[in-house]
Amino acid sequence: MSKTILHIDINSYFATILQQENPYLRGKPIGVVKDVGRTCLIAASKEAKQKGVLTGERKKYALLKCPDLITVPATFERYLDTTKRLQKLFTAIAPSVIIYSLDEAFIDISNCRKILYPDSQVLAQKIQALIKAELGSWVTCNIGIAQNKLLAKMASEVAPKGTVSEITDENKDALLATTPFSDVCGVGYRLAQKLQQLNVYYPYQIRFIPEEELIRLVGPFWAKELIKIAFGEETHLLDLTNKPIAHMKSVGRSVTGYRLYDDATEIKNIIINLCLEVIHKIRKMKLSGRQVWLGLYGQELSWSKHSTFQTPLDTNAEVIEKITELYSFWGDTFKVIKFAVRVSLLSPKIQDQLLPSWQKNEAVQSALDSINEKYGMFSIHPAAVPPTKDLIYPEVTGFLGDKIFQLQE
Amino acid sequence: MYQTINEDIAVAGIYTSRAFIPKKFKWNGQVFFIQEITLISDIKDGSIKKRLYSVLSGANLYRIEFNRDSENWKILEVWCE
Repeated sequence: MSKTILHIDINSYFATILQQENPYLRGKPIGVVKDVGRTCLIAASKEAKQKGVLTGERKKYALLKCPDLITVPATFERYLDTTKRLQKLFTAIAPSVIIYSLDEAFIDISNCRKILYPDSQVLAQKIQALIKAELGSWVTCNIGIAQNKLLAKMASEVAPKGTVSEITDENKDALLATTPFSDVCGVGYRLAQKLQQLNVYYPYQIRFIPEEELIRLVGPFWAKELIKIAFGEETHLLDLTNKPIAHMKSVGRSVTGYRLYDDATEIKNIIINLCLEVIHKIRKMKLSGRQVWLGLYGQELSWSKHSTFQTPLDTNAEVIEKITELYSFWGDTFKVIKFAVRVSLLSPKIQDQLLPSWQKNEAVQSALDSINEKYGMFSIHPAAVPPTKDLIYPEVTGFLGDKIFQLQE
Repeated sequence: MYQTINEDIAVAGIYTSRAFIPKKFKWNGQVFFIQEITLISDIKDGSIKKRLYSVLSGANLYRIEFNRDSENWKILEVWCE
């Protein structure tokens, strides 16, 4: 039996939610920034996109194209709540729901099609109405319907805003012949550039490239994947979304500063601030990691180093000590704009600490966790972090790479 | 842009469909009638649950917050053009 998958994509999510919240922003070109004073646009409203404003663009360049652009700070915690509400809404429609990113979800209605949803288009329109009823009349979404996730996502990517698009055996080839690689899930910029060397711009064209030539150009894995895409079959990446992930393999956090930093204390404090968030997450998921990684980025230069350990780490004291050791290898060779830390090789914490010194460490950390859990993040923290007004708080990303953590409750 | 206020307010409203709907709030001795709630979000600050309402009153948009732990209302921000 063929499957029926719906892909729901909320249009210009970050900007649309801000416009839904604030009627004075509706119909106007808005650019979403991470915070007041930031200059990188992390999202743009459909009105701004129509004027050529791009996601990821610097504000000063966007203003050249769209002088009436209004920049508004993002409200990450509200986006996450909205996604949780959408998740609830989708789960009431069918049990098989995959939240793919903050603003995208797949619903597999194959098993409820016969009795509950004989007409997928009617269901899709009902979902659009339900989303408007739940989040507000300004929130629109594209819905793609197809036999697999790849085609459903492609359909919703290329459809006009706020519409439903169904891909059948009849129109599948037309979609594959007209959708550029930028709208194909899993095909990145560099892979698309390589394919351009063979004058291949659309998935359908891959059918005419000999497999050996494709392997020579992109390697055996991507050759196989591209052939699947050419015929509209499910790719390995999207297939993986069906498999439940037992736990996260790594937790990282990065932040770009407001300016270039060259003061060692300031740099170390920001790194410790990021460590606290990472440790908070891994402890909440009852995990511990055996590898720590530190990355520092300047305007042109970058530096990174990692260490792997035999015993797992999961307390502030342990991780901060190891990260500080890594930092000592950095030679202060450039001014830093971006900071990143990561704890990886994560595994479930299955054994209590045996040595008294470790037990003491764990007891202190548990007390810290309880206080922060009750009174809020960073209610209590090591002294060596940035001043309260500059503390870096957790935030969600559009990709929602930490969805296991964010959607766990 | 949003201007930060962060002051306590008194709120009156009604319960309908098991949910509280704020209808008016008193801030600085003045009563503001709520014409529309444009967005509601539930957030957590540690174990403290908060509900954020974005509300339209007159020609202004306000962000108000209900602390579900202390049952305290606050006006957080106002949108100024």
